[in-house]
Amino acid sequence: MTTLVSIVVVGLVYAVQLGLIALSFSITYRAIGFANFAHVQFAAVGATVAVGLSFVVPIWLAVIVAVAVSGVIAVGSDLAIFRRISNASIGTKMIVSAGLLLLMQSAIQYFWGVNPRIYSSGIGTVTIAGVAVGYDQIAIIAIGVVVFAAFHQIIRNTAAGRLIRATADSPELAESRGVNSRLVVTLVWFLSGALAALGGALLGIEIPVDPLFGQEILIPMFAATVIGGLGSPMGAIAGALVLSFGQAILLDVNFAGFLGRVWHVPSQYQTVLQFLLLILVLAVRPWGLFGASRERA
Amino acid sequence: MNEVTQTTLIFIGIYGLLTVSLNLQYGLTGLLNFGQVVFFAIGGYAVAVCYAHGLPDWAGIVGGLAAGAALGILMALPSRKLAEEFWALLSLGVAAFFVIIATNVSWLANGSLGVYGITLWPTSVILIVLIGMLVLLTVATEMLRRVQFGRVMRGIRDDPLLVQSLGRSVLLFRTEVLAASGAIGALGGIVYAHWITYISPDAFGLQVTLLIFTMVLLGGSGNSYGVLIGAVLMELLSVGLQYLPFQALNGGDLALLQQAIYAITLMVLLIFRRQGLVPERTITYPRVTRLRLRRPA
Amino acid sequence: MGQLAHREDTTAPAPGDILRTYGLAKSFGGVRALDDVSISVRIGGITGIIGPNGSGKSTLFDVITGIVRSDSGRIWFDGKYTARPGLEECARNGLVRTFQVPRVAASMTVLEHFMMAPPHGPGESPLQLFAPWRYRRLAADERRRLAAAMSMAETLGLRAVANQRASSLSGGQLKLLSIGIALMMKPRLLLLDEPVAGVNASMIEVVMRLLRKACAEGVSVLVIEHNMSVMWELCERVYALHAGRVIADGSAAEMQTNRLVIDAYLGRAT
Repeated sequence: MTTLVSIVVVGLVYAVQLGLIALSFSITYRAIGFANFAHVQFAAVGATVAVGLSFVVPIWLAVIVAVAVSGVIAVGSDLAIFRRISNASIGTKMIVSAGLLLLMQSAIQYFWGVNPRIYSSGIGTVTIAGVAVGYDQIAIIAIGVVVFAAFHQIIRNTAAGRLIRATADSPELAESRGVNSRLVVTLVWFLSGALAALGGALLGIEIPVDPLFGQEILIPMFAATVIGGLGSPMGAIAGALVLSFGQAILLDVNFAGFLGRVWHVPSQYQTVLQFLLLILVLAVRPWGLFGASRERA
Repeated sequence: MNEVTQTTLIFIGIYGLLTVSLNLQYGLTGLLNFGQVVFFAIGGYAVAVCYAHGLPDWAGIVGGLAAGAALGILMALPSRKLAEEFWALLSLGVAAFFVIIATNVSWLANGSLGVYGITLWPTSVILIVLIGMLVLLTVATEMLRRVQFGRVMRGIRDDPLLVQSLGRSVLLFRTEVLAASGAIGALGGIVYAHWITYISPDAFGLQVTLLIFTMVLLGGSGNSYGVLIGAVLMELLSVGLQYLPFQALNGGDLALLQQAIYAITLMVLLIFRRQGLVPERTITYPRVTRLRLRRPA
Repeated sequence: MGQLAHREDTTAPAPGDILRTYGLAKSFGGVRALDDVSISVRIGGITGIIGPNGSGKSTLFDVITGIVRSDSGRIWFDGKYTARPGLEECARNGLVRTFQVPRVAASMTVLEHFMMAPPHGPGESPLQLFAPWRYRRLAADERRRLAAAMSMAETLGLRAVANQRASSLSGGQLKLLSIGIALMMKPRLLLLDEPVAGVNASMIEVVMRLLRKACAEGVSVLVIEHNMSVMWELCERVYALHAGRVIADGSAAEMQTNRLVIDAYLGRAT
């Protein structure tokens, strides 16, 4: 029972953190039509600003500031860079986004230094079924549930949500109906940067934060989005859940039966697991759970 | 020849090999290899591993070249089923995967500590190898471009479906290109190992891949001479940054500035001058417009 | 044969047919792009497919060449039943197609396209490429390709733009380029998707002559076109498609006066 509770908690927490980053990635993917590598740096900005400010202001305020800053940066990157290459090939766009990733990383490193820092909340824990569950973990799960539910509700069931989806899928069509597609796209970028930063901040509360935070989240983010289906925001959440729980379970498995001694997959191999899962999905079902299979019409 | 000139020339040579490799893949065949650094790494690591385990030097060289080619072939296999951007993601993952393995599997090559004391080759040997190979490869690439293989390659770059409709195996061509590029990149790594005499995982991150892309794009993607010019210019820039008034900056910040400048150069290039300094030259047959041919009945 | 029964009464191909489809069906989402399409193409003959936009003509080509998998139905090429055709294998077996929107390599010139097309060149294999003793063979092959390319460019009236990149060509020129590329593959069956759309009248004549010449040499042609006068002149047999179904087929003379066909095309100029 303790194992179950432990896996559920760990699984949910990471699913929220990764899910926010993957969800926001999916949103921009829909809007701009290619995989923006630099997206992970919006999450990194979230983590570094939140944790950095947390030494000076209360954590909740730090997170809010981080989210806002990242949103603005995301909008800035669209205006300064991505709008200018909208007519370029996919390859060119991806290379530019990789360049932006590195540029942002350099900036982050300049301000942060090289050393990892860990946020210690000092918040207590509550014991559920023999497992010490931190209040911060509960808070993260709660935030995740609220944000995902709100996102789903807004995007699916409100006029604003439909407007955003329509504009993302076809800006020209939206323009012809009188929609200010530039404004909508800007909002989408802000939202995407903000959500990524939230995910990054929530992740940064739990793990050490250093300038390589962004690159380290690349493979998990891609794995989650590909599993769920690139371009499907809800799929990204599903992918994050699958990845997170799969990982939690696998890391918990005791291979004593096979190896005759106690052996767990070392936690550094977490990324290896994620990468292998990514390859598996790409090999078998590249369009993931909810993406459309690429059939030529 | 003073030390600085030596090192600069050697690095121009090593980067030159890497740009030739990437130019074959991206410039001529349209393969978006975001894991380019992995060929460099596998060459260096082959030497390091052989040294660390007491094997003779030639084993490292042969092993490195073979491993580079083999890795290239392996990476080519999924290219048939995967769309462009998925393959790019995969290549990125392969490079990250390699670094993780190198860092965590300590018995191979000391993990993150790296391997010291690799045999140092005399400068003259290194320069002969580099210059010789670069001349050979550049001439060979130019010739390749003008014959049937080169046409099919460029056809694959511009429209793979067209090439398929002409009965050619796109997969086979990509495999051949990747195998050759893998070996060339590995050669760069092999020479690097014998000059720096130290191999560790941190030398093989995403920033190296981006630097090579910058060199290729700056010089002129698709133009074999252009990409070498790109390598020369970027390396001179790097050296220049170390010796200009930026001496006020410490080493870490200087590296960050370099990285930022590379990233900005890359993005500016792709926004404003995608064809680079020396664009790819169209292959023409001037005789045609001068000759007068019989008209068919 | 006429407006009524168009269904062939045997499923296996007749010996004189290079291509035979039976009962091909394909839906995308809820839309029936192809519905029970059965056609046959005689060896050495020119068969046409007409129909309004959206009637499934290009989809038929996609299915025959394996770009799209049919939901049901069978395809025989050269007497052999192909379970899962693929574009590469089709081309290797002599089934070559052009596309409604011409597919070209933007950075390559007209001549380079024509030089690239003919299969089985020594220059495509890296081993042969770097073997010094093969140099003469390679050089000879290149010369041959260039000569053939120049000739084709001349024939198609593309001499003036022969050394220009495909990206700078007009729509009609791109069509001519596509036809030239396909012909240089020395195909057994040529699938042409709107080959003369946007091509000027004198070149259309040239294309028709080229196709007839190819047929005389044993090439079979299946052509989609909207240009009716070309179709009636060129084709020995025409199928009319509408909403994914074959609504009529017959000789050019029969089809010109076929009421179903005229109805489907109501309002269309020739």
